[in-house]
Amino acid sequence: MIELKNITKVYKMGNETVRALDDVSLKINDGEFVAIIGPSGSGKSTMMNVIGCLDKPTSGEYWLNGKDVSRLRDDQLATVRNRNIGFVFQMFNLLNRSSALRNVELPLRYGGVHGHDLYKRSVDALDSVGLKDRVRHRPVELSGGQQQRVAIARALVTQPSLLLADEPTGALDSHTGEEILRLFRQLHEERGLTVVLVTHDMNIARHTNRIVAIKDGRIESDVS
Amino acid sequence: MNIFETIRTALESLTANKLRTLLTMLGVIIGVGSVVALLSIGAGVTANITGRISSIGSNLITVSPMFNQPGARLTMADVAALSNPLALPEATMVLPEVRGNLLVAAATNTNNESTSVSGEEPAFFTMRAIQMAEGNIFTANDVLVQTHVAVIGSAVATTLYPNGENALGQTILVGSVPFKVIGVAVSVGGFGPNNTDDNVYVPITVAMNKLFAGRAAGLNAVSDIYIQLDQANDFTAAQNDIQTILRQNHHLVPGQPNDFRVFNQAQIASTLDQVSQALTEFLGAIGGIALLVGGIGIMNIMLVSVTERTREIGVRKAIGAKRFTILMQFLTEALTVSGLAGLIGLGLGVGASDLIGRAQSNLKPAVQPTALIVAFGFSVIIGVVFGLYPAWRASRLEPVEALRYE
Repeated sequence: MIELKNITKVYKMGNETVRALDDVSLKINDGEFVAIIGPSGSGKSTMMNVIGCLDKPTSGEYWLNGKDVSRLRDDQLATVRNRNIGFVFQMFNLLNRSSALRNVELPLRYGGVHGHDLYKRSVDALDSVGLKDRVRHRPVELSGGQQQRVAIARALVTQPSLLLADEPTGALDSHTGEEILRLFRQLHEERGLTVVLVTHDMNIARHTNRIVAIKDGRIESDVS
Repeated sequence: MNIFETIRTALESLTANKLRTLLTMLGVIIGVGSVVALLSIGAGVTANITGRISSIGSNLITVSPMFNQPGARLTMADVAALSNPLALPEATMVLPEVRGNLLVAAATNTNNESTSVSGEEPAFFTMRAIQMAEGNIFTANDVLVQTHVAVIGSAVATTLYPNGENALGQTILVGSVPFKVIGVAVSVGGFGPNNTDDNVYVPITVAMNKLFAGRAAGLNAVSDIYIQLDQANDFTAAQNDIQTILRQNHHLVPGQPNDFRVFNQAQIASTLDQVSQALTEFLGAIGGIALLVGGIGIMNIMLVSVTERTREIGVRKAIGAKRFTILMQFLTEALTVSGLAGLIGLGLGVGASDLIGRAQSNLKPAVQPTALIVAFGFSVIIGVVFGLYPAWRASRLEPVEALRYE
């Protein structure tokens, strides 16, 4: 379960201070499929960074799975990200020199998994996104949609409770984008995974069950 | 992440940019290679010098006329005075020598060379431990009756008789005086003046009367006097005794400077040893500077690499890499570059030493196992030292900033 309590995030840009998030509170239950929507500069990226434990709030509390993670040290946050959160990025962000399999193995390696367990879990993750026959391919040998599937496999492999996707269809054509969105829905329905999708595009947000709109660092609307 | 995985990741990113990796390694390769090669050469030179000095014998004192005083000379009268066991009881052998450079030519062909010719007593060969490869040395009788016989060094033999003819029994012309070759000395290698291989030895009486007679006619002048001491004796005391005897013999009044020089081989040996030691250190330092420059090259490229891969670092952090993991990843890369370059450098250094040894037979480079270990160790240390800062920078990147980096 995700619970943001009065989260404020202030940035210093030169002499100006920017309130990217202004006293935001939000609760997302386990197994929800949520879109966070807003134009650029609205604070949705900051919100995603806080939810993803990539960034710490200036004030407020962030409870993830019953634990306050807003005051953890950097290395503790790394462990939280590794175990509880799977990231999917707009530009896939795969390691281009490594095969699909090695890309998917990486979070497990950082989590200390090794040997046959490492191999089996990684192949299973690739299988679950329909890429069982592409394990030895490198990202350059795969299409955009396939690369994004590898990235999703990488996000799933540690069996996190939360899948956090930042404009996951932004670099794909609309047809492939639809496929990826269907995959998210399938994962959400079959595994009961919490999926949070960050986008600026209402057409994409519509695929989810709940739409949280952000504007000027505040929640403008929250529609289920 | 275990160590093998870390190394594999490092190799992956290094092979992704092979030319850059090679250029980065070049500095360390040259550094390690030159340290190994230069130290080998230094050790070879040192071994050569000390080997020759110890073959001469460390209990030997040489007396020569003072070089900057015209007219200063040593004579057979000085030899006689020093040979008096009552005056100089420490001496076990006192040998005069007459030497100079003369044209030496074969009588049966046109080969000739200008080389060092010395007139000696037979005991000289014992004192210097010069062995005969062929034939024999001349005898006391040869000195007495002034036989025209010569013992020649191996290099002289090959110069005069390059086609493998036996030098033994041949007639050679030393400054137009004919001599019969009765002995060829065993080659000892080495270089420089007084080298056995390049020398022609004749009975001292013949040298004084026939070869260098014009120098100081009737004075029985000699070039050097060798005095071998009983090993147990104090060198300084013996040197003082020699000075006293010669000053008396030369009628020098108190306050007048010596017209001769007295020095022992131990002094020469230690001086040469210091020189070659300094040479080795100097050569090592040059290689060390090259290594340092190589290390700076590694740091430079690693900093570029960290900047280029900011986004990759961000992704790795997002999926759970801790600071230490990132630090180790980049440190391993720097270490792999410098370690690999170190190994290649060792190979090149050993190869270069070998080549120099073949090309220049007088210089016998001796590859020093300690130099190999030290040079390789240094390259590894350089990898750590110059890799640490870029790796630290990488590990400190904020994931949010790193992911946003274009």
